[in-house]
Amino acid sequence: MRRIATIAVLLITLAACTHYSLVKAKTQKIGGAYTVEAQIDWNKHAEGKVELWTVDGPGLEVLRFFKGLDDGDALFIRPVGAATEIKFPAYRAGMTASEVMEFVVDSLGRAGAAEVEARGLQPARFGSVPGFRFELTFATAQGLEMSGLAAGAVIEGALHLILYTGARVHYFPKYRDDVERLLGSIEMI
Amino acid sequence: MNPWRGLLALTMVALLAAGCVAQPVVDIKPGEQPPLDTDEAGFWMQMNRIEQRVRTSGRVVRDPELNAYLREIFCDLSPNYCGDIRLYIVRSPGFNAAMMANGTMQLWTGMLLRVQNEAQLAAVLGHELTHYLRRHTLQKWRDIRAKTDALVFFQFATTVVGLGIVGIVAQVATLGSIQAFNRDQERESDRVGFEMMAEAGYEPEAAPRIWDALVAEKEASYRPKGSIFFASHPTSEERRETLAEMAAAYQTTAAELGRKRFVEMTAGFRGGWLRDELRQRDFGAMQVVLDNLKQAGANLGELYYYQGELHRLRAETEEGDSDQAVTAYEKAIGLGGAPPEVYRALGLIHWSAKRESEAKLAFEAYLSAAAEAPDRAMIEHYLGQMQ
Repeated sequence: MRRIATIAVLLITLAACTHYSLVKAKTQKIGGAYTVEAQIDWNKHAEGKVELWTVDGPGLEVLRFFKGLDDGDALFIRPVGAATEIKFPAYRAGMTASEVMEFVVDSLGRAGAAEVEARGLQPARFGSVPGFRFELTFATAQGLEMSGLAAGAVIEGALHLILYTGARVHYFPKYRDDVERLLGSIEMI
Repeated sequence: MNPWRGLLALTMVALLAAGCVAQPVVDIKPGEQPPLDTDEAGFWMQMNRIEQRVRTSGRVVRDPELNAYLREIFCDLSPNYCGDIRLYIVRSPGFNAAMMANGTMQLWTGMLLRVQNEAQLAAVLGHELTHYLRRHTLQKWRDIRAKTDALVFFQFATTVVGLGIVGIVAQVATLGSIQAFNRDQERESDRVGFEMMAEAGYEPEAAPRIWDALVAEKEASYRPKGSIFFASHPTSEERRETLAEMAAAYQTTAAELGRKRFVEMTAGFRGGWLRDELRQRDFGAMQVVLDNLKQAGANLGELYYYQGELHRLRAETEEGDSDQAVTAYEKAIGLGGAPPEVYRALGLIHWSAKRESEAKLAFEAYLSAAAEAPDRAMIEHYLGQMQ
C-alpha cells in the first residue's frame, strides 16, 4: 500500500510540472506547415496548437509558434482561475493583417499585459507565402517592460504566427538576431 | 435520543457559530499607526507588502496631472486623512475601487470612465475612505478567522458523531454569514461616503445616478448575475434605492457637480479606457457605457468612433453589425474629434465588403490624417493591391 501511495504522489507531482524538451540547433518542423532553422538550443513546451520555446524561462523571453489557429480559436489559453464564461478575443478566418495585429494586441491586453502598443505593421514573406510582421511593446502586470516581434501569415484560412517576446532590458535583444535568422529560414512543407 | 432533534440542535449551533461576529473596533484616527504588538500591525505589514507590488505594477497610471487631480479631490473631501491615504490609479476595465487596511486606495480606470463628474467621484472616494477609517478590512479579517475557527471545531464534532451533513450545512451558513458581514460594511461605506460628498458641497442626487448606469450595465452584460447569498456587496438596485432616499432627504443649498473640470482632466485618457472595455468583448455592457457617455455629451466624435468599433468587433460573431459600424464611423467623422483610426476602420470594412473605391478613399484619408501611422507600410500595401 505504501509503495502505491508513493507512486501516486509522484505521478501527481509530475503531472503538475510543465514538461519541457530540448530543441537542438538544427532544422525543426513546426506543425505540418513549415520548418525553421534553430540557431541555438531552446527548451520547448507544446500544448495544443501552441509551441513555446525559451532559453532563460518564459518570464524572461519566449518564442511562441501558433500552428494554424482556426476560426474561433483564442491566442492564449484561459488563465488558471478565470471563469469559463469570460470571453477572450478570437481569431476569425478572413482577418486582414491589420485585424490580426489588433487580435494579438487585444489578446495580450486581455491576458494581463499593460500599455500594449503595436507598430511597424508591414508586408513580409513568411517562407514562400505573403505574410506580415509587426513589433510590440507592453509591460507585465508586475511592471516589467517587454518588447515583442510578430511574424505570420494566413494559410488556407488558418493563422500561422510566430511571436517573440522578452524583457526589454537584456533578454529580448539577447536572442533577437537568432529569432530574425529563424524567421528568415522558414520553408513551407 | 431522537436523531432529528440532535440534528436540529447541531444545526442551530452551526448557524450560531456562523453568526459569530468579531469584536467591534473604533475608528482609526488621522495619522494613527497600529501598535507593533497587535494583530493589526501584522496585518498592516502584509498590506505593505501588497502595496509594494501595486506601486511597481505595470498597470498603475503614473500621469502626474491625473494623479494630482484625484489627490486634490480626495484631500478636499477629507483633509484630515489626506496624508494617510495613497491613491493608485489602476489601468483596468470595469467599475471598481478598493481600499486596503494600511491606507492603499486603488481606483480603476474603468470606474473613472463610468463616473461622470467630481460629485460621483467624491462619493466613490468617500465610500473607500470609510472602509479605511472604520477599519473594515481588519474587521473582515477577524470575522473570517472567528467564524472559520468555530466552523472547524464544529465540523470535527459533527463528523465524530456521524453527522457530517450538518457540518456541510454549517459551512454554507458560515460562507453566507461572512458575505452578509461584507455587505453590511458596504452599506455603511455607501452611507458615510454619501454624507462626506454631500457635506463637501457636491450634488447629493449624483450619488444614486452612478448605480442607475451600473444596474443597466449588469442587465445588458452576458456575465452571470450570481446569488445575493454569496455576494460580497449589496445588489446595485439596493444601493441605488438607498442612496436615492438619502439624497432626497438631504437638505442643501450649495450643490456642485464638478462636471467641466472632470471632463477636461480625463478627456485625454478616455479613448484608451474605452479600448480596454472593448477588449472584454462584453458588448452589451459596453453599449450601456457608451450610451451614458453620449448622454453626457463630451466629444461625441470619439464616442461614435468607439460605437463603430463595438459594431465592427461584434460583427466577427454576429451578422448585420458591419453596416451599423459604417454608419457610426461616418457619424464620428461628421461630428469631428474622432481619432484618425476611424478612417482605417472604415477602410477595412469597405475592403472586406469588396467596396474598393470607398476603401481606397478611407485608407488615403487615414494616411493623410495619421502622419505617424504605425501601420503605414501595410495600408500602402492594401492600396497597392487595389490599383
